[in-house]
Amino acid sequence: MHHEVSLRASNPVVLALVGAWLADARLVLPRPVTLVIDVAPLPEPIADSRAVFRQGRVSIRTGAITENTTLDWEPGLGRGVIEPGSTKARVTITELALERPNELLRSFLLNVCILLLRRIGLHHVHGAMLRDPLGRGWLLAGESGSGKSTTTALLARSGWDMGTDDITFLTAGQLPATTDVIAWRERLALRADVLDAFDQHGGTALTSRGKTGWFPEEVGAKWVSRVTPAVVAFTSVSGGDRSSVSPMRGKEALSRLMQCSPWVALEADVADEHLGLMTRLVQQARLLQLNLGRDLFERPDLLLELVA
Amino acid sequence: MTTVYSRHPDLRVTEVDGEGVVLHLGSRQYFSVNETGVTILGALAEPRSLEELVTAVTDVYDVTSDVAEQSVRRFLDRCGDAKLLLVGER
Repeated sequence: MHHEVSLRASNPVVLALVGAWLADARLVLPRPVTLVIDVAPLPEPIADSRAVFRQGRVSIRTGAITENTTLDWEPGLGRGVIEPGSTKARVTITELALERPNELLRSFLLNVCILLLRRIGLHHVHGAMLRDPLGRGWLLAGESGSGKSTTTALLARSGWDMGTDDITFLTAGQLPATTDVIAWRERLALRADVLDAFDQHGGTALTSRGKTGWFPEEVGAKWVSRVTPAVVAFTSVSGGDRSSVSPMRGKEALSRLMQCSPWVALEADVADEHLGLMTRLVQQARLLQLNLGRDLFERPDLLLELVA
Repeated sequence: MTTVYSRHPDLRVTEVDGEGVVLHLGSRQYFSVNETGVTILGALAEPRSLEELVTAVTDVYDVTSDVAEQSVRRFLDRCGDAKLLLVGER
């Protein structure tokens, strides 16, 4: 049985905005989770001496399993609370927060969802997910600016199936002792400096991000929600003419995955599952460092030759 | 009294192809360790003396006790600096 994120909100603007965002994501979940959102003045802050994990302007505090996980969108724009063991997040946002819809969705609520989905065995990795014409699943992991979106766009337009260029979740594989990757569907987003080289008509201006976006179908690609990765590649932009790949050792790949998934160090009660999924992924997949050159723009399928 | 060492309870040790990555949930730092380090960290799941750790290494690798002791001491120093260990007595 498949489930999705259940949204409860009395404010019609929130219901429409967040509802559309979640519908676009097309998450297929093994168990239900619930997101409850109220628009109201924030409760008075309480003293909380726990260490803060920062993601942009969101401060996350986690700790002993007897304590709530809290997320504070600063300065005083929103607060999310997830009780120990619960699959429900209670979120309060201010009226002012509704004036910043992109930050509300892609920063604050995305972090709430990342922590909520950990409760049902989905663990976020900052990465892109694709399926090549040979049927192999790929996870492209790397920091912002490492070329994931550009590579995803080029491959999606040349016949690869695409899940996402940015937001993936590790979960227990459908085959024994494997890890699968689930995509959070949204527009693949390209910066202005690569648009000329991409040369794709249309697109939606993502003004607040300074990017232009396309859903997979808008660049002629088929969307895929889940793959079992056979290749995990860590991308970087070489700046040179030629692309290259080099093999990577397991412990190096595991360290790099931790960089792309810093939530692994939060909430000890689920950290073991998160680490276990990463370890299985590193054991099941071919591990590569992928240095992207200008030749990939001319021949995206070069990647298939480099990773035969 | 003998000094004994053990892994900090916030440590998670993951082994891949004989090598390892150590994640400290408290400090949110991670470290990579070599094959010998994985062996020593495995032994440190329980409180161990220096002598017991040296034995854990010589049981697995074809090295003298002196060489193993140097290796264990270096590893303990490194782990101590990163606050990965608990130190007690028995």
